[in-house]
Amino acid sequence: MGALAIRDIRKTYNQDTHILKGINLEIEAGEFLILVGPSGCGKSTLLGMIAGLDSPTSGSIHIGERDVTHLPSKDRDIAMVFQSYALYPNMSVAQNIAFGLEIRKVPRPEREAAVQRVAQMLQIGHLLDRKPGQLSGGQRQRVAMGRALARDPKLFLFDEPLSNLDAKLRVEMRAEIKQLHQRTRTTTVYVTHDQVEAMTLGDRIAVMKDGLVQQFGSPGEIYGKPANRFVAEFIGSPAMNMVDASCHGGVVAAHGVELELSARQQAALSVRGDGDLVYGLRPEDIKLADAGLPGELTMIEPTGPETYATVDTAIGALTARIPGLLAARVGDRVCLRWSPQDAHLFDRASGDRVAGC
Amino acid sequence: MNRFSLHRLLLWAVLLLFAAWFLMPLYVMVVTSLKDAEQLRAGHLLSLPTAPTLDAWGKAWSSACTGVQCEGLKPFFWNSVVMVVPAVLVSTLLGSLNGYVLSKWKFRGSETLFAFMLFGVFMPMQVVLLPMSQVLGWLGIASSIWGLILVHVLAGIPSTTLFFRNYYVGLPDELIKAAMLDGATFWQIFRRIVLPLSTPILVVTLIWQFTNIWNDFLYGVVFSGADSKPITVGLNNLANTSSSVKEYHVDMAAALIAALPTLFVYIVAGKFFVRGLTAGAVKG
Repeated sequence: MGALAIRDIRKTYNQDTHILKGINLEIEAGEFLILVGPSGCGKSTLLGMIAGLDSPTSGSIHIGERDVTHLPSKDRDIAMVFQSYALYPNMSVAQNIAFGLEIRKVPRPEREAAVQRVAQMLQIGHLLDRKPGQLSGGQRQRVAMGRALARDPKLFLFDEPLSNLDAKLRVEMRAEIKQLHQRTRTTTVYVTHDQVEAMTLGDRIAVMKDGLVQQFGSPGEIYGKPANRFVAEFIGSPAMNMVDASCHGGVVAAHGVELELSARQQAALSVRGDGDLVYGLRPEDIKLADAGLPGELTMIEPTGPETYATVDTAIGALTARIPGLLAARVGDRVCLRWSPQDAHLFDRASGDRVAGC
Repeated sequence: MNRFSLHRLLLWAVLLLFAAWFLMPLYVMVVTSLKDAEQLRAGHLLSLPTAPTLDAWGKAWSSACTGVQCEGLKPFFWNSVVMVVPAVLVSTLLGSLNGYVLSKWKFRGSETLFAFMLFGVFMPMQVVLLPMSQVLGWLGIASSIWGLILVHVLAGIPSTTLFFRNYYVGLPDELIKAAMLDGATFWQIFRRIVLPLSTPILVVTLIWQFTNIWNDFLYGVVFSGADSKPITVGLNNLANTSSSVKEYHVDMAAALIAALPTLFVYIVAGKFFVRGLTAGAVKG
């Protein structure tokens, strides 16, 4: 049995508002689970249930061997870092960190040792006597993590902890959270709406939408084999190019242009038969070439290490991700090439990935 | 520059005029209370006392007649102190507890309950006089200081609850959640986190309740017994006890004695009062 198991969790308000529609997730001890999705997908509600701040309408939550579905928060052996940090403004940093231990009647010397250990780990030793109001955003973030670390819990919960920081600090703190997890190996559940955080931090990612898990897997699986059109478009920036296409007699065409297929894709489509498809291409899989699909450059976005080029073609506008700088100008005629096995095929009606490719 | 200073001058003149206008009654009270009976008969309301004396204050405090007994305001003053201190403390504490529950531990129907409590804020006090005297009779504390304390606590709870509830709504819910995860109980969260963050609203509520209860006349005159009358009732009796000559200087001194405690509270805690009233608007 895993370190955290979520079984068929449902949440319904007023009989007909379904926030969560049957969530099943399980992770092993030491894993870093990411719950990611757009706002309103139910990820924070789910985290609140793991924390014991909200209760499910049905289903169960197990931490280790214990069924904690109806246990109060304080008996679950968990710690949480909140989006707003939620530091106690009336207490010093040291008191904030030690508060949970004090409430649990841990003797003073042990408490002080825990504060010192955490302060050293997070390099906040010089801040221990300050009040939260005197700290910067990044320092508050560290103290909030320190408070969670002090108790050495079985499960760590993060609720969008970086969304209040500026872009540069966010990248720094992201790396710090990753390092911290590599060092402590505490099982962690992390909620975010940022797909970069999800990809960089997670061992396992659950992509959520409308109260359902769209896909649950490793970052490689999520990125390389998105289970449906939503996951494909949500993860990755710039987003995957989506071209409406249709399949007739084993030939896939979009706007009259026939699209090449790999042997596996052909096999999968012959099983499935004719129908409407969505043909997806990641921007980095598209290359500028001397031959291929012709088009006209309509936009060039250099980012430094790479350049995003938008090209108007017969099958629609496609964005390509070119390494380095692009020596071309808007209006130039270019050709696009890609390997057919890099394409992702989705059923147009259901949005699901075509099985077997 | 010239026009600017002319503006300034005008502004100051108007402000000073208003200040003088509003302070005039206080001035009359103070100078009258320091005059002797002889100068009083001369009738110059605004003139300064020629031979300032505290005789009128002494008489008002300890020997002026309030009806048949002639012990001044002293017994009434202490009645008021004994009544005000517990009534203010209990109503403030209960209000803070109510506010904590109604904002951070919402339950089914808590908003409705709060709406009903708001009735208590706007209800005229006269409405409860008869039922309240009946209740006090049943409890066996009619015409006693205890009865008055109970009445003031009950009458104060709606407004103290309103103050604290609105203040606590501004405290982030995540603070409470964080404390719950840290293992704190309902009371621990209240005592260790919520109360220490309540200083501004505590001061506002304490001043508000002190002023209201100290200055109350209606409950004092209706629910008190012979030896539990508060100072407002004492002042009224003192001013209405007719003797051959109306002793305005004693009346003025008595009125000032009755007003001094609230004045004192405002001066001591006044800057917290203003700060507390605006604390919700500009947090952080």
